[in-house]
This record gives sequence, C-alpha cells and structure tokens, in this order.
Amino acid sequence: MGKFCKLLVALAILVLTSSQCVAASLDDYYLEAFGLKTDNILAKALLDVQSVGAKAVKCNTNLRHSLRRDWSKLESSTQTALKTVLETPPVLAAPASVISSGGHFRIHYSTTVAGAPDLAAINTYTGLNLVSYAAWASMVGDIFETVYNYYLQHGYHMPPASPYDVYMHTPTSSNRLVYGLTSDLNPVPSASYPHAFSSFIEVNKDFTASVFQPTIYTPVQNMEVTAAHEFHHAIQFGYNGYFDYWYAEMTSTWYEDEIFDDVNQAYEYLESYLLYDPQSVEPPPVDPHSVSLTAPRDGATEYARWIFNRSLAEEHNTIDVVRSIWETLAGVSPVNTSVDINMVPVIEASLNASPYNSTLATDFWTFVKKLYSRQWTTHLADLARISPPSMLGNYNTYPVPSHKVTLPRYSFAFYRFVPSSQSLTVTLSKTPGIQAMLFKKASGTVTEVPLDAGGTSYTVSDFAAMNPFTDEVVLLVANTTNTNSHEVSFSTDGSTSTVTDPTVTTGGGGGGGGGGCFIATAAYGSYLHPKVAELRAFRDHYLLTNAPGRIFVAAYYRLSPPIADVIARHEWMKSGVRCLLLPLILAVEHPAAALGLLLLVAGACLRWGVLFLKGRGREAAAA
Amino acid sequence: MSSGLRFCLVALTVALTCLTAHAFAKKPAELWSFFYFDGTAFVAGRPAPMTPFVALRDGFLPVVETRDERIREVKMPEGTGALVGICYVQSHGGKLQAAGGVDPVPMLPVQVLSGDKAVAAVQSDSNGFFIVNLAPGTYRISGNNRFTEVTVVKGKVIFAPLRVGKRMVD
Repeated sequence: MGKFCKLLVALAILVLTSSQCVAASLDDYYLEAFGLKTDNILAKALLDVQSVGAKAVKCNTNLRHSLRRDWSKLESSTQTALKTVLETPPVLAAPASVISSGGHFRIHYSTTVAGAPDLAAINTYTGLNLVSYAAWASMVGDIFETVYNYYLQHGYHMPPASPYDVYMHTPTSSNRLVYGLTSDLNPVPSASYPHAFSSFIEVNKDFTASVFQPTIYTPVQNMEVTAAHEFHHAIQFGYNGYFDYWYAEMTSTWYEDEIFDDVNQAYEYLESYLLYDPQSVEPPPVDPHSVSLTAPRDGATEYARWIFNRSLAEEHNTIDVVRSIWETLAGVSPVNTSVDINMVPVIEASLNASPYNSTLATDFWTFVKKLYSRQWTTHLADLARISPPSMLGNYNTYPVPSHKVTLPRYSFAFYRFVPSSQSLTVTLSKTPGIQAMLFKKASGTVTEVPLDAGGTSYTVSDFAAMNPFTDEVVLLVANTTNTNSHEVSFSTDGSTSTVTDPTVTTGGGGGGGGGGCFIATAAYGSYLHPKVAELRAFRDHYLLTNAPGRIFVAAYYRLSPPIADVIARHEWMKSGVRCLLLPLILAVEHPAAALGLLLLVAGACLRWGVLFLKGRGREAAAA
Repeated sequence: MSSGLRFCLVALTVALTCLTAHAFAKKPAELWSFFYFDGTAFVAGRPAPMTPFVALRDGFLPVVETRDERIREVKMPEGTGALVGICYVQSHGGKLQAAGGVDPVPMLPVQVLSGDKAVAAVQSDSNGFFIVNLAPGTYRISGNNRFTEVTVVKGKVIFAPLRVGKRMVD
C-alpha cells in the first residue's frame, strides 16, 4: 500500500474515531447533566458532589433548551433515557421536598449550593431568620395554602392531583428568568370536567435576582403574587385546558391583587394598557389606535387588562362574576385540540346569564367610562396606582377639522380638548359599533355632557369659562362589539368624514384571510400549494385593501366556483390553467420585472401600431 | 386566412401550451411541494435552514427532512392516504419579556384510533414529527391524552398538528 493510501486510511480512522468521541461526549454530557448516567460508577464517585450538582441545576433551565436543539445528534439509547426530561417536571439535583401544612402541596427544592434557595439573600430582603432550605420550602407551602384556601372559599373547583407539585428552581424562557410556569404536560385525566387537565407549577427558588426587584417586592411578596397567579392557571387547566390565553392572564393577574392586596405589583403592568403606545409593540399592531381587550398578545398588555375584571366585579357587586366565566368554560368543547376556545362568547354567555343579566358590550362600556371618571368603588387606597388613560389627541387650537379613528374590537380612545375662548361643539359621525361620550372636568369634578337634540353632537356652552390649566373636555370613543374596524369621525367645525361599516366578520382573534383562490386551487390541486398561497397573500395585501380590489374579489368569488369545479375534474385543464396563471404569479412574485416587461410589450405594441398606421397611410396615399 | 385554419391554429397553440405546461410540471424540481410547521399550522414554503420541513408529492408518502438531497421517494400504497403531524407544547406569556413559542415533543407515543379501536401506533421522531399511512376514513389521533380528528382521503396527504401540552410562562 502506498504512502498516500496509508495516509488516507489513517485520516479516515482519525475522523471516524474523533466523531465517535464527540458523539459519546455529547451523550455523556447530557446524561451526566441530567443525573441519568449510570455507568462509570468509580469515576462518578470521584467527582465533587457540588460540581455535579451545579451542572444538574443548570440542566433544568438552559440545558433543556440545548437538549432540544441537540436532540437529533444523540444516540437513540440516549434519547430514550432523556425523553422523560423533556416531558416531565424538572429533575432537581439532590432533591428534597416538604408537604405543606394543609397537605395540599408538595414543595420540591434542590439542596445543592447552586440549586438551592439563597437563604442569606432571602433573610437580607425579608428580615426573616431562615436557617434551612426546608424552612423556606415550608413557608412557600404556607403561601400556597393561603392561596388554595382563598380560591376554595370563593367557590373554585380545585385542580386534579393532590398534593399538587410545586418545583422551586430557576425556571427560564429564552434564557431569561421568569417568575413562574404552569404546565399541563403528562396530564392526569380529570373526572370533574371533560377537558380538564392536571398540571404542575415551577417558581423561582427565591426571587432574589435583581430582575424581580427584591428591594421593592421582598422574596415573600414575589412568592405570594406568583403563587396566586400560577395556582389560578392550575385551576384554569382544571376547568378546561383549552382556555384562551389572554383571559387566563387577565384573571391570574387580577387575583394577585385580590388575594395579596398589600403587594400591588399588578398595578405596575397597567401602564402598558392604559398608556398604550402602539409604536412600542412588536410586531406593530394592524390597527395602531388602540389595543383590544380581547387581543391575544399585544405588548404584554394582557397582564394589564386585569383591571377589566375589577370593573366587572364592582359592576356586579361580586367577584364571583369572574369565577362564573371559568365555570361556563368548563362545559365548552374545543373545535380542535390545537386551537384554544375563544373566550369572548364564553364571557358573553356568563354575563348574559342570571344573576348578571348583562352583556359584554354594556360592561365594557361601563369599564372604559370608569377609566376616565375614576369612579372605582373598591381598593380605594390604591386608586392613585391606576394611571389615567393616555389621550390619543390633545387639542388647544380650534376649530379641529374632521379626524377619523378606526378601532379594533372592544377597544377605546380618548381625546382631550383644552378650554379656549369660545364654545365647543363636537360633531360625530360613527358606525353602529361605536359608543361615544363627552366628559367635562371642571374644578376636579367629572360630568357627562348630554347629546344635542340632533343626536350627532355635543355642546359645551361654558367652554370659554373653564380653566385651561386645570379643566378639560374629553371625548371617549369605544368599539363595544366583537367586530374589528368600526369607525368614528369627530370635529369641532361641524364637518364629518365618511365612515364605513366594517366588512370583516366577527371572530375571536387571529386567523387571517378568507377563502381560497378557487381557480388556482383547482389548478394546483391544493389550497396549501405555495403558488396559491402567494396569490392569496396578493389578494389580502393588495386587493382587499382598496375598494376596486374588493369589488374585483367579490366578482371573482361569485363567478369562479363553477369554472374551478370544471378545472378540478380535468387533469389536462389544470396544466393549461397553471400555464395561464404563470404570468400572473410571476407578476406577483416579481412586480418590478413584470412592470418592466409590461412596459416593453406596451412599447413594442405602440411601435407596431405606429408602423401599422404608417403603412396603412402609405397604402392609402399610394392608392 | 380562412376561419377554419385560424381556429386550427388557435387550437394548436392552446394544445402546445398545455403540453408544455404539463411537461414543465413533470420536472423533478417541481415534483415536491414543501411545507413547514409555523407554530400553529403547517404552511407552504421553506423554513429556516436545517429546520425540518415536510415534502409532499402526489402518489408518494410524505417526507420529513432537513435537506432536499435526503428526500427519498416511497410510493403510497394503492388505495391509501397519509397523514403527517407534529407533537408540540405551546407556551404563552412572559411578564418580563415575550415567552410564547412552540417546543416539539420527540419520541412521544401517538395512537391512531378508528372509533374506539386503535389502528396504528407510532412514535414522534427526534423533531416531534410523525407520519402514518392509512386507509381512507376518519380517525382520532391521540397523544398525551389529547386528541385531534382527521379525515384521510385516498391518494392525499393531510396535516395533523397535535398540541400535546400547554405552558403558561409568567
């Protein structure tokens, strides 16, 4: 064998063995990190206990994400061994647990230095004199018992599984610390409700990291509000695991302040909703004027929208109104297990029922008026913590020309008029889903201005007499329906802009586009085909956004189904139609090139036309 | 030019166009359609590099792969259809920062039920995907005590995203 061949063989062996080593080390790394490595006992025994522990603690946070990323690189036997790690509650290093005093919770914690709660820091922030991890775990158990008893006394059905598992460690999401998690992985079926699931909770082990502001909220206070929040999620899973996310957060955050009124962390979130800044939202909202009460997620405002529940409780003189919504949800079946149940009709049904006999529109309107009038009736000591809502417009020069606003479902907008040396008449034009109110605030007293006789304007006759520094007139407009894009225009010069009824039908949030492009679908054989998707996107972005485009689409949808039907039944026609659609799709994919080509063709036609006419002219002259 | 001849020319042009399109449609590169899971549904298109995608082709079983060159053709048995699904856990929330997202669940047992009778049992792969070849009919797909109902059609592939858990992140 020549030298070259030997070198190749050696290289091949080197590559193979090194790859094997890498594979083995990765498998060993994860097995060891998760405390599942069973071989090499001698080597394991020689390892420092604390260093093993430190690795294992990390595994419960960032390491699980790494494991998911590297999953396909692991050997199948390793995958089998680690499979449970991805599914089950966290595996703590050197674990220990205590049963809470009431017996309803099992509090898990780690006893390694890196994984255990930082007792010294807890003692510093709280003034407690905790001497053992078990003492802190027992205190956490007591907090959860307090929460449990509160919910039980308020008529809630407790979640399946007892004692309920709570894991204290360092849970993260995207490598950032989080307060807590509630998950329904590996659920135990519940006999109580058809779609109920068991769950487990993970909470930060001590809340001493700076992100939790331990100098403002002590570790005990952070644990209290997190327990109140997460255990309501557990209750939610215990009613119906297909709950809609935004109302779950609204409810859990509301209860933080109902159960632990002295902590007041929930008020910190309010600004994101009441001082809503669409520019700060990623991705930017479709409608930039206001945030919907029922939006799935909009700059984390779902944590702030808890204030609606306070309004509901005050309006109906009982906090049970919120529980009734969750009880209604318990009997609702999901349309599809991958999609959560839209909470809007559930809330509507609960409010419609006795003893509330109301509607979501009525209660939402009461709520948004209260945001300005501040006529809250409970938690009065914390009234100053509720920010007044932001004004989307401040006017101090008059007249104000017509200004049109488009509002998403269940949303609101406020506009301020600063007193000036004249009377004020605000003229409105609105679609039926909009409710409006003009407030006058003078010497700190807020009054509602009645509508003029015509029903389309408000007049503030003493506007000139009001103090421009302390007084104001404020216009509130709100979409109190479950339909997006209701419009309202207002002015102080009597003019109005045209407002158009929304064309989009009701829905619970999310979901896009309407039907498919029938002919293209028939030609390509599937609604999901990429080319059909491109045409659909073109329709949604360029045709449905203007009147001529909408007319074209409406006509197309009327005429195309029978044609599509014929195409779908003949294979040879599909090829032909695909070919005919090709220029259209190319135009959609490459609009600049298509325009260039169009101009080229137009130029060529023009030239041909000119030549043709000249030729005819010459023929005529010759004749 | 007589109208008959003109008609023949038009017909010939249309026929040639159809034939060309048909031939174009048979090019290997165009044989497969690509889809990926976007967190809530399977959508047409290509995901980020090295992210698993689903390749579909009429008459063949679906393929879940990360690279085109590894796609292997396996004929779909006569008179059957197929479903391709993914088991995933959905996360919502984030008080301190947005924490929503999807985590695939690998190696999860998935059962296919017709009525109450189990007709197939598979396990999600290392990326959470699973593929099942079935006779036409309506089935319940079950994983981790969750179900989704699908209707399998002869010669077609359907998607079955299966959410097997939910996580509230705060």
